[in-house]
Amino acid sequence: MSSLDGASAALFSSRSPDLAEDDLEILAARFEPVRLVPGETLVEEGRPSDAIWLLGSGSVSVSFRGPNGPVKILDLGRGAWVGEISFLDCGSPSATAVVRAPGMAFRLRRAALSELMESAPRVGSRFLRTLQRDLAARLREWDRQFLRRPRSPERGLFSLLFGARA
Amino acid sequence: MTTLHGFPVRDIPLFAELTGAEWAALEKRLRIRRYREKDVLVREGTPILSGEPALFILLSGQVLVTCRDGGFLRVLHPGETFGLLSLADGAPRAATCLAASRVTVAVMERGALEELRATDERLTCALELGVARQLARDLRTVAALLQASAHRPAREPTPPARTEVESFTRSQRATPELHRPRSADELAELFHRAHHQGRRLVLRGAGLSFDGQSVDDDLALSLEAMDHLAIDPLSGHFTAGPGVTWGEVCTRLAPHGWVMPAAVTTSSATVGGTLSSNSLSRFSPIFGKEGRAVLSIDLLTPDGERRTCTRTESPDLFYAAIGGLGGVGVVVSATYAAHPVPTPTRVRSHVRRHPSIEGLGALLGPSALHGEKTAYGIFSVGEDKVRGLVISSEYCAAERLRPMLPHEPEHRVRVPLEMAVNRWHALSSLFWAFTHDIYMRGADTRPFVDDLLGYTFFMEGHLRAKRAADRLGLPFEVMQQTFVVPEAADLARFLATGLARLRADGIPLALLDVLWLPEDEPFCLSSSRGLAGYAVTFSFEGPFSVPHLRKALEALSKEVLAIGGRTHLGKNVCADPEDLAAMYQSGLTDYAAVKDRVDPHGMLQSRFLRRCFPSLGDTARRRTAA
Repeated sequence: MSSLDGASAALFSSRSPDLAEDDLEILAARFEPVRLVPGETLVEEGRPSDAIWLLGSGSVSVSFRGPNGPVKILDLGRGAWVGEISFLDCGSPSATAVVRAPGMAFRLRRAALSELMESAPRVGSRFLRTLQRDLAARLREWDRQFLRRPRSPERGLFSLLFGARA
Repeated sequence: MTTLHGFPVRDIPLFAELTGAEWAALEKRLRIRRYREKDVLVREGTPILSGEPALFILLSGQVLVTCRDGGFLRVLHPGETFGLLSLADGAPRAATCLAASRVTVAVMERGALEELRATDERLTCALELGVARQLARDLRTVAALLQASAHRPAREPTPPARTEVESFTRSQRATPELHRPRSADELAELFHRAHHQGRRLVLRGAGLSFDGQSVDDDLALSLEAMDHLAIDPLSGHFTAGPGVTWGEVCTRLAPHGWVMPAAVTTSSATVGGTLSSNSLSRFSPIFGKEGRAVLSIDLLTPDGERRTCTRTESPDLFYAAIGGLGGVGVVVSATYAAHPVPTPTRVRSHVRRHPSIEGLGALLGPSALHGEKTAYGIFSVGEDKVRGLVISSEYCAAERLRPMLPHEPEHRVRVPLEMAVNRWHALSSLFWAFTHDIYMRGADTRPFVDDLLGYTFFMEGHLRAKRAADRLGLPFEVMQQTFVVPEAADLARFLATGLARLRADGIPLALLDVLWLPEDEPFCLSSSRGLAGYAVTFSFEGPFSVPHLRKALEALSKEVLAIGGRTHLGKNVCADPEDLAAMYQSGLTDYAAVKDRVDPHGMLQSRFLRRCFPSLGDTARRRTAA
């Protein structure tokens, strides 16, 4: 790992433990290091974004718009992805992510991922599997969070999911 | 138009972006399967075995998705993909998929997928992107549902009513007007009304505080309905409302390989409750108290302001509110950093018998702590004999379970045993003699391996016994007081003095536990602010004479003050207010300054605060008099 310092190498390695050292180097070269300044907005709800961030240090607060102002969801820290949903499905972000504590992150733009998939498809595949695993962890967690919500009998999950189809 | 068994490929989002050549290469690896109505395509909890389908694409018919926890989840329609979660993380299936009609699916078997990954890098890459995109779309769907559910009221508001409340130890009782706010907005409204009506407010969680920390006579706010919890499985950060229980937090963290560094020992204790006393636990010798794991708090103060407080942003409020006994504001949510552990997580404990209260400084102090292994001592002190166990524990990856009986809170003997031990001191001594002399014989050479939640919430058995006794109308008396003793040299003397005093007063001690407590951050009312030392807890179980015991504990508080220590504020506190003021002097000054600023009329109160720190009401009294 020549171009990454120890902490950054450990960060990439922790997220992509299946990648060999050389492959991590290829992957990390597509990410741009970014300083995180408190108050800076990385992703804004409803505003298209073409990047994903891997947090190296500091923290990022995630919230969405509620009827009475922003509703905080949680704070993310080292090792978390920011903006991964809209980065992948190309839709508008469903939440806003603002830097809370200063730190640094690695940013990957969609064009850089395309270039990686073109020039190094094996590394690209491994990286995408890393993302899949992390998305799966988050999805399992959100499923649990949703399932524990108290349900109102007149408006259950079925009608929320399918509306008129229900 | 390219089709798959008659279904347009462009309508299958997973494959929509493949080129013609890529699709042709992929189609060869798909198999068509047909199922009858009620056939199970995927069963919850099962892994993907070799030769089994790794992913499914529904081509005709409908599939029901159900899970054990949530019942019916959703209906899948043609073009939709399922089975991706287990494909992505290799964990067992998260739900059961059941044919709701005759169904045709295209499947890719695990072997075919592995062959593809080994032979065609470009096509693999395109497919992996498709799978990641589908997972992102699924996340977006669940995110929308979570947001929608956050807007809906969790339950119908309960009208406030005069309700009898009591402390866990039943030493304090009151009949306040009890409100159950469900959001920060409702809380702010209650604060506003209380301020204009000149009312006093006390905050309550699960009602497990030992003393009068959550008891008062005017208005009480139960925060149990503010129970939102969001966990980031990647960074281990989690944000919890004050009503979230630690059982919920730890159960949700565990599958992702995270634990709360200093989790309390009862699962029904709430985040707001433990945060207000900056609780300590058996892992505190290495992780410190609860406050050390807190990254930020969202605080609503009596002046109606809502502030985010961290170590750098409104730090005075951060250090006053954590461990602040609910006196400077309501923690609307708190964000913590969990600690990474291997999964599935167990706790390995080595137990050494130590039939003495001598030498504990060296056995439990910082020099005895290595890596992430904690250590604590538990002692039964009889008339003629000390029976002690020094236990060192660490988190470990899955090992064969060898549970320790006290760490099996659900064990069927636990409730009757706890009830009997609480009632008859002789039985308590007999139980300890059995534990120490027989059950733990040879334990130092063969470690116990406990289930994570059983170890963490071992006091749940005690709580169940107390609740059973309450239901049956039987007495179940408990008192605990914790002291922080700064020096190893003072520890043995303090223990000897304390035990002699209790013996002279004829007060039977149920248990004594000792652990090392590192110096805390400058939390105003922390018993270890600027002070590292040994946390010594004296536990008493009934029957005992409360006035005698109070007097003895007040004397011990004087004793600990004389050696530069403190009485911990998170349990029962029997101490002269002047002694407490001397113990907490600098922290109390900082705390009072914050309280005077954000709560000038002294709206947030409790019997405990008034009794222990009567000077805190001075500003409010001056204002009232003026």
